[in-house]
Amino acid sequence: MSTQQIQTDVETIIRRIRPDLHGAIRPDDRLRDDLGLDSLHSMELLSEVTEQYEIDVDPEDLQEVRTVTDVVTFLAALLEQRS
Amino acid sequence: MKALVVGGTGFVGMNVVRALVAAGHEVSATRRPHGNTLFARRLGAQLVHVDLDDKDSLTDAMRGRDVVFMCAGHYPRYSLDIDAEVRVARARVRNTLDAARRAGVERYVLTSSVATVGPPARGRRYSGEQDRAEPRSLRSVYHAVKAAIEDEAARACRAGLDVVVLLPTAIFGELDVKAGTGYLIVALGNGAMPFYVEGRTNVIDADDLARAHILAAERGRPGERYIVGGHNLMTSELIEHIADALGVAQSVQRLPARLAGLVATLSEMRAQALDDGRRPLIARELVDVVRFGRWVSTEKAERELGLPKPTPLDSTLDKACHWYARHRYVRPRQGDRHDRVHTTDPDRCRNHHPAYPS
Repeated sequence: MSTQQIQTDVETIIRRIRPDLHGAIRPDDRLRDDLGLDSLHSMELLSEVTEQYEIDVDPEDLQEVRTVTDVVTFLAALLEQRS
Repeated sequence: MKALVVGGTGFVGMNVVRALVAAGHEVSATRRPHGNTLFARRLGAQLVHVDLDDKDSLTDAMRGRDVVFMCAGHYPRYSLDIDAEVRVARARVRNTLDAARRAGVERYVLTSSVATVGPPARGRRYSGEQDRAEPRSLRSVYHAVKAAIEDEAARACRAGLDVVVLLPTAIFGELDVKAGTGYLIVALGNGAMPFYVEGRTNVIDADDLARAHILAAERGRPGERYIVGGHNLMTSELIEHIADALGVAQSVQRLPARLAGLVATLSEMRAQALDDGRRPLIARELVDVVRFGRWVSTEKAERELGLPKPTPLDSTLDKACHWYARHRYVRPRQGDRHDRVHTTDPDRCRNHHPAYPS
């Protein structure tokens, strides 16, 4: 799974959660401050994306995830571990 | 038993799933196509996709199950269109009841709310299952929705389905991911509670409530309603206990109920107009549950279900606050109070009015 693919999937889910979001989503966008995702939205994002990749995560491990890049890096690391 | 928990990713549903799994039952739980399953999928139940608007998917999920726990409470986001919200809640519960009948489920346990219980009859201090809700309380969307789903359950029961209804009070505990009742903890912990309304309330531990669900499935009488509560107290006392559990100062201002209701309604109108995904300043539902709050007796549930004595209030609040701190909803408390999580010390609740006549 390429980092680019993960990024695309993450963006797709963000747009489903926040359909009112306009404009490009940049890697360094902060989930809360730039994209308007509150903590429940962020959990939903991580829930959906980890389900899509069939990864089990402890919700406590998600707390340092603040930007789109953080999400992508977090997922890439888990996928790397699994393979 | 083979159980299906409808609403298996919600606060009550997850606690019921956890209790059922711990007790060795075979559990499946419903989920929506989208949403947060981070917590639910770690509880040991099989998650199945259902659509509450689709009787066929519900029937499929219920086939082969002995008991259905209907924990998918409809929580209206706004109070502004009561009739529309009641229609949705009524239709979804009716779908699950119809599906349970079609699937041949032996028992259906509905999680309703103490909101359908009215003030105690003259001469009594505590409300019981027989006390009818005041008509004016049904102008509150939360109360109207709960009354409507109980109406549907009663109708299904008369048509032959074995239904038991639980009436929980204010629930605190772990896994309140969306901070429903836990809003009080999260808001207090973040210095974001705008005000409170003084009134009577009753608190039940989510674990106690989950056990009550299993007892209702095993021992409840068909067609009966059971209040499942814990500690009777005033909201100001509850807020003091939460502040103590969080280790923060309690400096929230009290607001008269009528004014609080107006603020909540205006706040909802603003949130609905902006529709930016943010919560209203305060939910109308939280004001209404205090306005029409009751002290209750759990005598019937104790007598018929064997409902045990409640977990001490401070243990419940410690547990809930600890969970929110662990998941960064609130700052961790400094000091050792959370080391006492899950302890039971009856003296710590000596000032509360028991939920059962002594």
